[in-house]
Amino acid sequence: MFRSMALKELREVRVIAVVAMIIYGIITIAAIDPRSPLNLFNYLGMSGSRIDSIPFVQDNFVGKFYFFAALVAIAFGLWQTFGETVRGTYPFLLHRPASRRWLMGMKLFVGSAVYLIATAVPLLIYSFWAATPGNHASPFEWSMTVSSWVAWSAMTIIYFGAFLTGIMPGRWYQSRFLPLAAAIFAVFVVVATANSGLNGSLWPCWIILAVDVWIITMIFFVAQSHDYT
Amino acid sequence: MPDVIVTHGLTKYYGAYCALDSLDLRIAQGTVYGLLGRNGAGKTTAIKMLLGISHPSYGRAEVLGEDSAQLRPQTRARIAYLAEGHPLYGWMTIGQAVKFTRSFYDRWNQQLLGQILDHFELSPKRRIRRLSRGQRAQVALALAVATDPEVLILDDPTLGLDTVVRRDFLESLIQIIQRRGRTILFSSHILGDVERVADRIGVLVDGVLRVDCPTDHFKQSVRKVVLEFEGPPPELPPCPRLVNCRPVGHNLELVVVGLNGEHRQLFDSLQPRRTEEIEFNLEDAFIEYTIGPRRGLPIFSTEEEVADV
Repeated sequence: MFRSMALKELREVRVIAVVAMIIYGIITIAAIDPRSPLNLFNYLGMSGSRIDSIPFVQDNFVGKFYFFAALVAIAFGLWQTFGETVRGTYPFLLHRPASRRWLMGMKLFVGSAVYLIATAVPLLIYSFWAATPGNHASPFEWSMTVSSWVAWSAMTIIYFGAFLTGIMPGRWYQSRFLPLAAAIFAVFVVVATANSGLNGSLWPCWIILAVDVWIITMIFFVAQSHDYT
Repeated sequence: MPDVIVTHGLTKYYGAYCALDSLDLRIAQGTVYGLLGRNGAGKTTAIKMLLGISHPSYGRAEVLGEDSAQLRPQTRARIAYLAEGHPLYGWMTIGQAVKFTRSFYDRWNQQLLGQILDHFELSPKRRIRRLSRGQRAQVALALAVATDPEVLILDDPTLGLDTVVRRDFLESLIQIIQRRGRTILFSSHILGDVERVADRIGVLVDGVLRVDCPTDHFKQSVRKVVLEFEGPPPELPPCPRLVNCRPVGHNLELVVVGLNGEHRQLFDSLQPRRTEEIEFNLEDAFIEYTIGPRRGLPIFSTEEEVADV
């Protein structure tokens, strides 16, 4: 049962994961080798190559990475929930002999795991590239990457917020959109804090964890009480 | 026989709109129950609440003795459900859909599943998105039956199927019914289908259960009486259980539930030149019954109420 459900979810999010990896790949190439023909941002007039690049401090990577990571998190969350609504498959899925909490929990587990792995890969590649001497003319400390890793984990708030929005009753322009909007705002606050004077500190991770747990609790509550009409 | 499906005042509001109004229903074990109603009558709403997919505004429902809102996975495994439109994952092959569904059940009749798929000539390699609507229905039915359920709930299972596929689907359903004491609840608005398989029917009109009785009893209870007059038909005095009254030329066409001596006496008092009583098949009985002034429809739920037909 676990394996079947995990494979089903994996199969359903894999398209988004592949698209995300391609986008991340382009962002990473753009940061490492701005003159590469694979840097599609050049064709869009968004090369943004900097002579004074300092990885994770002043570069072409972090801003784009945050932006696309947030988009990917939204795509994952909505696809896993709203996708079932659009295809009309909720009645089939929810009638399987498993608790609703387990079914939603499996969706969250697979979705967040795939999202985190897919998003961690480019960050790791860029981190190792930055840590390799001779690749750029600026100092590097691993602590410089902490705020990006905090942002990486903070994006789970957006993923869970999008997931909650996907199963919420109500109208999109009203209460339904609220969890996602609140999640985006929370991530802004956390990332801004992590990038400010507290650079290098891991304490925002505790806030992220607390917010994640709160949204997951809400997801389970809404999943249980929501009408799948 | 114990009751397998029970509802107590089951009510559902969507905002101010009442989709289902105080549904009280008891379906005994082994019954094949056809839930009828026009579009928007509340059939799907009732079924979704029976399965805990939707929550009642008031009242409660029980299936296999358990509150529908809190069905345990073990109980859910004993109930098969075919949702309207037979939703399945289009990207799966039939084989993958079988594997996925099977993983949730301890009890699984692979042999029966194979027989049904063979009968419908469905290869496990075929992708569900490429199947016709009828073939999807067949796969959904096979998956539902393979779980060897005690209760089978089907929401408009033949909707959108052509006549031949529908017939084939129903034949399979009849075979399934014949297997030991299964209880089947199915909604439909194709009356011919219901007539063939259901031994009891319920008719929902605007969210209210107006009829709950054996199928044959319903057919016999709704009658048309045509009174022919010399000239224009006279005003009809207040008549109990009158569903519809239409003047057509020199005739007065009346649809009555539970036609009895009292009615006949009343009609005779109008001194018609000729009186004709017409029996209906289920479809005509249903149409005549539901086409009338809905709020004023007579409710009948047992044989006794109209025993003097």
